[in-house]
Amino acid sequence: MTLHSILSDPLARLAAILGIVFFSFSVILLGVVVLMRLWRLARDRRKRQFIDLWSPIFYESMAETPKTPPGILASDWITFMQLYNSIQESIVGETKEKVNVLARHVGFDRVALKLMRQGRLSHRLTAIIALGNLCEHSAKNDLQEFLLDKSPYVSLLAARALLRIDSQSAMARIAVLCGSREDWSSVGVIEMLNEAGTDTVADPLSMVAAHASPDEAARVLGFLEAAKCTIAVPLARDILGRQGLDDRLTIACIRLLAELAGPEELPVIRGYLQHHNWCVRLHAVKALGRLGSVDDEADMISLLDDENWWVRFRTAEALANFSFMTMARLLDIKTRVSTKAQEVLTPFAATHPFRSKVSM
Amino acid sequence: MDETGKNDQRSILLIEDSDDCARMLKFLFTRQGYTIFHAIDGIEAQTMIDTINQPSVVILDMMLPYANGLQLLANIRNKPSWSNIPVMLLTSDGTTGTIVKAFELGANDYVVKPYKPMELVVRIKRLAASSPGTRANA
Repeated sequence: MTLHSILSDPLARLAAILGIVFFSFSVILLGVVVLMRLWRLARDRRKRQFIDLWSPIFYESMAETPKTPPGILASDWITFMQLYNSIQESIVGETKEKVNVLARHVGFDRVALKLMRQGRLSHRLTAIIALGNLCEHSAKNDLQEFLLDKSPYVSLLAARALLRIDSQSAMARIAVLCGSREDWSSVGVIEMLNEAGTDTVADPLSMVAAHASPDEAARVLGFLEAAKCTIAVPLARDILGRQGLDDRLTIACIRLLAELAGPEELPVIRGYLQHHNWCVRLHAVKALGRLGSVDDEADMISLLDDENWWVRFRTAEALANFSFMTMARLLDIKTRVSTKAQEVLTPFAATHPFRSKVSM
Repeated sequence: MDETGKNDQRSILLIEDSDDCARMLKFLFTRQGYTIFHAIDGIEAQTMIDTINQPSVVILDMMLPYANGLQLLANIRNKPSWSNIPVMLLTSDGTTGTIVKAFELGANDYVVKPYKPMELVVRIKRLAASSPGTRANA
């Protein structure tokens, strides 16, 4: 049977044509994959070469700005920006400004502005970080617009950049957003506030916490606590004095007092041990565990019978962690309480000697 | 270098998994005349601790793959010939507990990331000057 006779059959001819088409398609596809891979390898090699060339120049610039740095191709600016940000994020002090002198010397300030305005999202985000590191005042208006961007990544990075450029004027507006932007990462906000410093963030955040809605105020109080703003202690005490206070706000105030205040706040905290909401009781117990004294032992022991398991558990934990608590004292308490209370005390009594040794 | 316990004059064992951070430290200390041995994770670091001669100083990152800085620090201090080698901790975690723990295990100094590069150089030079092997070779 010859090829000609086989192809005279219409079905066989169709199968042959389809076979050739699919084979050709596979070859083309393979060629495209190989080309893309080669392009990627070339790009990575180019990126490595650029980093190998520019890293020492950046490090040298920490001591003295090189007089004639090499030129930068348009295609290399993204790598330059990533390298610049990486170096700036790993150093502090006056060295940062020395690196900025080099960056401005090669025209990076103008390029970063352009990338922030026109680049795709990943480039825009990197450019926003870079402009913050550069302390580029000409970017302030754009960054203020980005504060209201619907993307939490863009808006939070814009806030951070603005704080680096001009923290005093930017903080009032950013403090409001700290309360209202629920989509902002709490960790990101806390990092940003800690970097800006307590002196910069305490007053604007306190102003917002004093006048915002309960949800927003609770969120801002959490940031004040995380940023160690002791200036907010009187504010938390005042808020707790309000009538019909929201429970979330109550908890935020108790947490702040526990973290930043001293034993002088104990009378206020003790007033929440019998609160109708178990979450509030739980945070009051935790606060007492941190600030309380031997005078609180009896109240704590009575809470070992609380209706909520978490309150009982945290009470047992707080009791066991009191500095005056000894193994003998804990075991004595265990003999005097109900079976329900004994259940939560047992693990803390069992591990008490070990925890005493390892705690620092 | 020999097997008599003396360390390589002006050498640093750098245990750091971040490429960017290691590149900068290598540049800074190579320029100061140090030879750098670089380990990128806990396993490689342990191999170097077991095989290379005593360096003048160990720069130790806290967060590493396979073994953390505190574990490696304990291993360094448990090795008799390395027990007096100065160790500088490089950490992003500046909490008191971690730092106290590190000093209890025998760290000589620590720097919190991000850091001042020139300050780090000065501190390392000071540690290297007090390194027993460096004094012996001087």
